[in-house]
Amino acid sequence: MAQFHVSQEWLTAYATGAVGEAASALIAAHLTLCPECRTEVTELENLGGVLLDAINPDKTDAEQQFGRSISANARPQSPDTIVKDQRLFTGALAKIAPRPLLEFANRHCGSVDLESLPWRPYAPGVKRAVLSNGRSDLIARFVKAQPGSRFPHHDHGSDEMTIVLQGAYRDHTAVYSVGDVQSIGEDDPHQPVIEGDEVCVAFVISEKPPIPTNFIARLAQRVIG
Amino acid sequence: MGIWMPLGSGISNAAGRNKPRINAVTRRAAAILDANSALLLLVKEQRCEQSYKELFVYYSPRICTFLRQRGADHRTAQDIAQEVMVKIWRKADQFDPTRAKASTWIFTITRNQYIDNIRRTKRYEVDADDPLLVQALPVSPEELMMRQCDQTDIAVAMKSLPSQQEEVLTLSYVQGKKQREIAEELAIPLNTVKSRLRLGIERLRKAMENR
Ligand SMILES: [Zn+2]
Repeated sequence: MAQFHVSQEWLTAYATGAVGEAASALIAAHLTLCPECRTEVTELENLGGVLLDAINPDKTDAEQQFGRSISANARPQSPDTIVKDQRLFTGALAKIAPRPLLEFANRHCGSVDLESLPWRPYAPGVKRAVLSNGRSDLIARFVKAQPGSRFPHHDHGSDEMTIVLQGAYRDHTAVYSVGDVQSIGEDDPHQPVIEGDEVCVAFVISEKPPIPTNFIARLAQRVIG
Repeated sequence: MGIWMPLGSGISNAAGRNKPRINAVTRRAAAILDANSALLLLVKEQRCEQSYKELFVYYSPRICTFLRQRGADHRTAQDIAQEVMVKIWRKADQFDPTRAKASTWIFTITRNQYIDNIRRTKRYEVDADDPLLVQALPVSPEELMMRQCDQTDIAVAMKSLPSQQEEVLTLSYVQGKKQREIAEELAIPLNTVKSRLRLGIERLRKAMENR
């Protein structure tokens, strides 16, 4: 069972729909491995339901819209059936990565095979496979490190979140093993060292906060700077 | 401050809908079959059009307003609300009243539709068939009932929150803002937002426990 969890801030953002794609993949992966955080998200979603009920709605002619919707497309249809591509769920990566990460990997590099990810050397014994959608809001990568290897001492340009999928690593804060999530802020340097004698595989994201869609927020941003 | 008033007043107005004062046992039963969940169950099991219509008339304007508060223009909000309502009809068979109330279920559908249509980003969720899924310890039916009951009372507890805490909870949920954005918007430090949100959630929890 995971010892280090997704922060309350990120869980809330996940439950309210404020996270970007890479963060949602990482958080969903942790939720797969952590019933505690699943319960937390469910509670946060319940609160969302309460707030939806509590809305004082704009005046609209819902009855009339209902009539229109009936005549258009909302008549009885067969229920959706979800077809999952089972090919996604076989192979070496599938043994260690929860399905949200398999889907993410498939979507961004067309591969769910651990060996055929676009690995590049990063440090002695350490490889990284960067997955990106070409936009600045999403930088995600798998990292694979041999037993005994260490990362270069590094700082972080933005918030970073890591989930361990296999093996373990240690830095000055703790030992992180399978299912654990480490959140690191800007200006929070560390040097992970692989712990134990198993190859360590992790998924790491750096994601900028989403651009506020709300007009008032944008306005406030412009005023406050 | 003025712009937040409609949100606040909305919460205190409608929170107690369909909730007569009754004893704990009845309240548990009522919590499981709160009016909207019961309607949704009828849609699920009997494809009951009258029940669907009632849900439509209740939720469609709320979803619309919810989306407008998240920055959608009127037309877009209406289109998305329409899509959500169609999904409710089509996916009713996936509604499981032992796991979520109708309001929770509809909130998640609305949230996901908003992410699809407006944020245009993909959202990943737990796959219940994932072989790596770590199961929770089994929960007794008693415990399940208690949880359901808790949800119904959150609305009442919301009213007891200090307005500053209610404000950040509302910004967070109704408008889907991240804490950083809330801090910018209210021109208060991030740590203040964090603590208000935490205190608000803690307080709601306590209110649930002390019932
Ligand atoms: Zn957790």
